[in-house]
Amino acid sequence: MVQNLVPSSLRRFAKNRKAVVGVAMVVLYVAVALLAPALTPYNPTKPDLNLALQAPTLGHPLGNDELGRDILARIIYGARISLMVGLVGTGIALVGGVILGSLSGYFGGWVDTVIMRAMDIMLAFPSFLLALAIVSILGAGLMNLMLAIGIFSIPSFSRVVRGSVLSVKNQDYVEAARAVGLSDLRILVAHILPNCMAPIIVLATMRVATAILTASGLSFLGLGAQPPTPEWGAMLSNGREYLRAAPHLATFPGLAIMFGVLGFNLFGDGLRDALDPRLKNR
Amino acid sequence: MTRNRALALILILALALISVLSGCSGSGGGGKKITFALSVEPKKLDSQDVTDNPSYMVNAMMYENLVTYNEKMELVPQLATKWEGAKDGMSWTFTLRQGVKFHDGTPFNANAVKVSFDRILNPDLKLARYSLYNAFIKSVEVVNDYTVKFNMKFPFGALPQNLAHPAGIIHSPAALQKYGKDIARNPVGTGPYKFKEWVSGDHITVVKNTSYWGEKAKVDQIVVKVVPDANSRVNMLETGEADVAYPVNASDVARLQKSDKVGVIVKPSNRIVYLGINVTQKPFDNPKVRQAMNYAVNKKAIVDKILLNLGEEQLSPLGPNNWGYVAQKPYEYNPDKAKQLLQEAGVKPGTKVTLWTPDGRYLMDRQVSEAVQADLQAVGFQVEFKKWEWTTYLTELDKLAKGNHQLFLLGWAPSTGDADWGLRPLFQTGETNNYALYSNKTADDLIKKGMSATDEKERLQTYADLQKFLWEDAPMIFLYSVKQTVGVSKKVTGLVVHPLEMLYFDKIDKTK
Repeated sequence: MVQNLVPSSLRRFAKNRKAVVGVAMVVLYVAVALLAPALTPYNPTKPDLNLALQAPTLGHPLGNDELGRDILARIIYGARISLMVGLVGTGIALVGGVILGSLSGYFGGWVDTVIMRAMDIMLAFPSFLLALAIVSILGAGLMNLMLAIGIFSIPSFSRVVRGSVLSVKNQDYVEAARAVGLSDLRILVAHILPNCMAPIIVLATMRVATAILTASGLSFLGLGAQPPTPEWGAMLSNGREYLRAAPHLATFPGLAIMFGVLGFNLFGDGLRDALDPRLKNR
Repeated sequence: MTRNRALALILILALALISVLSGCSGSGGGGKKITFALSVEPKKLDSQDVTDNPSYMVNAMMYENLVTYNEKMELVPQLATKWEGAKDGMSWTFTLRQGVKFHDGTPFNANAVKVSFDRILNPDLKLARYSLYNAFIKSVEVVNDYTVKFNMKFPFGALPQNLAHPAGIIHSPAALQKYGKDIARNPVGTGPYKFKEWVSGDHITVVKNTSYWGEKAKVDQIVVKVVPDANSRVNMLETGEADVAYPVNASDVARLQKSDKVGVIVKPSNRIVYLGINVTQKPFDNPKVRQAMNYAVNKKAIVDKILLNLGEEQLSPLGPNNWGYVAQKPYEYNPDKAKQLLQEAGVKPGTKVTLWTPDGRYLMDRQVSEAVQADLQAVGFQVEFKKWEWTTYLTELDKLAKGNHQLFLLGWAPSTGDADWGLRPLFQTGETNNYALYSNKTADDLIKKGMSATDEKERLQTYADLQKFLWEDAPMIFLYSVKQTVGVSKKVTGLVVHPLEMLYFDKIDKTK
């Protein structure tokens, strides 16, 4: 099943122009994050007050911020922070969600009830509010930010995983594996989960976008990365004070956030369309 | 699809209708209203129990003192009509204004004065400004209904100046009895405006006191809006949503000064903004380390480039425009010297310290803190940054027992305009605003000597010595003194921007 899915999905994906643009954006974004030191000669955290609030020039194409730091350098290094928050946050959610969701779907009964009601409670909060509450409890900072984003994304993963596990667990080959006498764990890991990968991959891609946006939002409120870390949301928040005098301070970090979020969303959309067999003939 | 569009259209129309209707009701209210956009929320509306000027400012709309300072810093009568010191300096007698009533109808008299001062002098109540008066007032005596006598602990000449401090307000004794500590949310004074409501985190409203004893207020109500975001404050001012905005960010001042709708009042103040150092913690217990930190920070660049010259480099532990001020020899910006001093003191590069800052309380405070952070990193510290909401920040600093603060940005503007109150609260052992936990015998002795000296020359010399000593012992990173920037609509007249960093609204008026 998985083997058959890949080539046809790839073909469908390549035909989808939006998806290709999304991939290009994500690749660019990841490349910028990885190559940061090679892309700018400036130190993103070292102020030079003589250049404070300077508008874009040839030497500093995006201008300088309120402490004279090069905004381009801050955005480039900021990509690392966002990407890290996006990946680690989603990673935490992925691990937590897959474990809880598969237990819930596979065993059913009271295990299912307890886990899913707990997830329902978490889903009852608006997701940003939940992240905000978690960070407030843990305290501001980048590590806690990633934890908060991870925790608040667990319910969506666990629900998707549960649904997929439910649809797969009564298939003949699972029955067969059970008849042979394989353990529950082995059936789950070796036979069920591999066949649930498509929706998980799609969700993970989309959640990276959500994670980046939430991280920016929390940093905007001062709960995320602390100065002088070049975090896009924090840059946007600080630049806001100079919106009238020096609009470039807030504009460029805002565009950077938009770029990252849009890239992952387009990528995720494309993946969904490509991996969903029901859309095969459209 | 078409159904969705129709639905969207209906929704948009409904929204438009709602906004039009709400706009109508908004402009419908009668009377003149002043909206004051203030960066932080007052902590309490009881000036006896707070230490921050935003609280004092709002409080001063509703409360009065026996005497007060006018704009030229001259002492003028308020609830007292005249006063006289005894020849030996051991007591002061005040004659009170007659026919004054508190907002709740209680008559103002000598008993009210005694009740208010007995309250602040009561050590059990632990009011924030207890030590201001306890230092020199022994007792308060009712001579007759309209005469009151203050007995001193030692010959003390500056009592009237100290009674002009915002903490010298007179509460309604009936209201004190009724509310106790909750007077802070239910203030009752004699001032030109009376309290209407306080919606936490949003606004405080005061309304005109129609039975005020003096010249009555010209506007019917003042709404103090809490607007932490500097940009929003200025936008509110420009759109007419606010009439007064305080403070205005340095980066907006030049632009607003060109506007034909609003103006910016820029006035000197007696405030210093400093970076406090908890001197009980290692390595800050070593004066060498504190001096090194003073050499490490480029104050001139901060004043020029962040404050855009709306301030001056701080040259004494006492702010300028205070009586007794003596400028000292500056710590020049010299990171190499700083590194060398740190090495001599045995501070290893990479030593972790935390820096706390408010955001929006003082002109460009957060930006200044970031610049200081970078300067300290440059000489080898690893500085962790923490930004606080103002009232939480004060509450946290007040819980000194925890003692886990290290570096903190704060300001100090002595509301008496005098060297004693400019230095004593910050540097005397155990004093209320001594968040540095500084305790030094030489400093304590000089502070005591300055307070009890009766000869003016001797006082001046004592404070000069004290400033020199503190400057060298450096219990803080001396940063800058700051100017006040108040955004005012051109429709507004009569706002008083006082040198002691207060805004007075009693004569404010607004044309339609």
